[in-house]
Amino acid sequence: MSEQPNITYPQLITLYEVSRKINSKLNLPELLDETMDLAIELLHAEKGVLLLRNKTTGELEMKVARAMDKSRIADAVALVSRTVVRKVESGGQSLLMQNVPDSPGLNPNMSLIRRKIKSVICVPLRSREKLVGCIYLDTTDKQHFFKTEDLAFLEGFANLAGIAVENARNYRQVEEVNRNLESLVDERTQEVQAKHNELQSAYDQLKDTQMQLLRSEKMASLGMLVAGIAHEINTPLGAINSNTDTFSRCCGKLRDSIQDCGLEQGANAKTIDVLDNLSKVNVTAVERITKIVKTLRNFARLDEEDYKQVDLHEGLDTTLTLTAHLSRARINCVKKYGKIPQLTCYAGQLNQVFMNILVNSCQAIEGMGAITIETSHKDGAIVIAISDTGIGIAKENLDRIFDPGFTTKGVGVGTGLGLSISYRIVEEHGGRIEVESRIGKGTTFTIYLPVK
Amino acid sequence: MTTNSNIESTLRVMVVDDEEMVLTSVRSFLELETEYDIVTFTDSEEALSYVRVNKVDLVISDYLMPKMNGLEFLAKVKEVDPQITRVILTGYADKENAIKAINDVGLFQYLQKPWDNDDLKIVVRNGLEKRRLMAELEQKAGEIQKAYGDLQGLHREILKAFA
Ligand SMILES: Nc1ncnc2c1ncn2[C@@H]1O[C@H](COP(=O)(O)OP(=O)(O)O)[C@@H](O)[C@H]1O
Ligand SMILES: [Mg+2]
Repeated sequence: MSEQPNITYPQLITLYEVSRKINSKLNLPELLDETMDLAIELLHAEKGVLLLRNKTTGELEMKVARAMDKSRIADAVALVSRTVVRKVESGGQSLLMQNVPDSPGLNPNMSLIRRKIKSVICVPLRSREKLVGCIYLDTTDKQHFFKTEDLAFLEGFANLAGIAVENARNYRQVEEVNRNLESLVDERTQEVQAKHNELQSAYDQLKDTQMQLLRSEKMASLGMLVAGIAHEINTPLGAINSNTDTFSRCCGKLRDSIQDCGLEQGANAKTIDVLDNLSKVNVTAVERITKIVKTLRNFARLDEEDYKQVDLHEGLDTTLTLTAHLSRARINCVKKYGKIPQLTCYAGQLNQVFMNILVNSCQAIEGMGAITIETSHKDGAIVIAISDTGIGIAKENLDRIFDPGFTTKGVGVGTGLGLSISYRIVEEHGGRIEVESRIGKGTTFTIYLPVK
Repeated sequence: MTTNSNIESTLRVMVVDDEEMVLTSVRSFLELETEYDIVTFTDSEEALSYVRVNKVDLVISDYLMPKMNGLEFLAKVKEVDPQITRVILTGYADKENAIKAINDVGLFQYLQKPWDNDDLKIVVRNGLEKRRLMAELEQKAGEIQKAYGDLQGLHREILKAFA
């Protein structure tokens, strides 16, 4: 049935036109529509169907069916002769039936006969030598039938279409790969961002822990140093303390004996007065040293005390009484006590914490102001927030206020030990201290103490 | 060692501390305020030798010393003469240990550095008083024992006479 290609010159020109037109289409559906319309137009067919092999099922599937007026035919399945298509598919050869009614030996049940087809033509679509589909055209026009040169032309046409389909498919693939790539890049970027965030927070945490570690380490070594110093100072202090007292007693005895002997008093009495006065100064000086040693001892935790159950509100109240001389008339103390359970703790030590923070608050308030103490029980911990309306803490100092020896107060006012001692005590109770401050507005110290 | 020349009946207080300045302070105060005979040592072994051959009524010992600590030293003193009143002088760091050991060694009191002179005087006076009472008690017990022995002898003689 198929003939040797025998293309005329005008047909070649047309094919060139066709090639130009369909190669400009990279979108596959558009390309298929255009191809079909061109084929129908050029061969004066009534309708045309283009079938392509489905890559997964291996079946030839109808991709587009067009009518002469370039409209799509909806249910085209019934309009293609499966017999014809199968023949082309299995033989790999084009098929032309110029005059269907006159063809011999046709099954009268064949769809071609039923649909009164006059002439039908079907050529394979190839890509790289492989059959990837076919173009099917037919007509019921009694006056018209497809000719052998139509077949040759359509085969040439199909060759071009095959290449164009292949190109469009490749293009689609490239596009898809591109799209995938893009979304892959997007995904990766997001992943990298998430990883980065994770790392950042891990780093922050590490830095935090390191700070804390450093702080505890500093405290521990300072504690040992302080314990040693307290011990060393004690012996000479004991001697001076005793001697000062003995001195005063000696002065008393001397004065008595001068009187008893009825000696001339003047110069001797004056000398004794000088000794006595100096001795009194020594007493005060020794008292001061003793107090410092006591503070240091406390810091180094040399004096163990009872671990017992207490109501922290009592401790806060006691401390407020003790600091009253600092705040009298000037500072309004507001208590907002919530419901809190008893806590098993070193009560004296915690009182010292309250004391240190309250003294700082009082010192931070110049003139009139307020201190608020708020307590609550949250997430298994007792929370004590002590706020003041004082001068606040500069941002650059916030990290250092818990360092031993850090003070912004004048010599003789601040030792810089209060907060570091407090930090240590709270830490030993398994809790923590947080601070929040705004320059010129005030400061809040919040103590968290877990209840076991 | 240093000592006051004193009559035999004078009560004697021994102070032991590896720090000379503590010894001087305690000695000066006690000599000013009391009539006791004060002996002082910086070396615990020398102090022990002294106790072995001389009458001592009360010993005050520092806790932290080289060679042996105050508790060990006082335990040895007790071996030599259990009648001697023993007092320990402790720094802060050793307070806990000292208090725990009071019963083991049978201490009369502990004093804490820096000590108060009045406290020191009271502790020494009471310690010596206790020592005197104990000695008296012992003497009385001895007398009773002797009287009892005499009585028993008499009893035996009476029995023999009537046998
Ligand atoms: N409530 C507060 N308001 C403002 N500054 C404060 C407050 N509490 C602490 N500070 C700052 O923290 C420093 C350290 O406090 P602290 O350890 O108690 O030592 P000190 O009070 O002896 O200086 C203070 O010198 C001060 O600068
Ligand atoms: Mg302070």
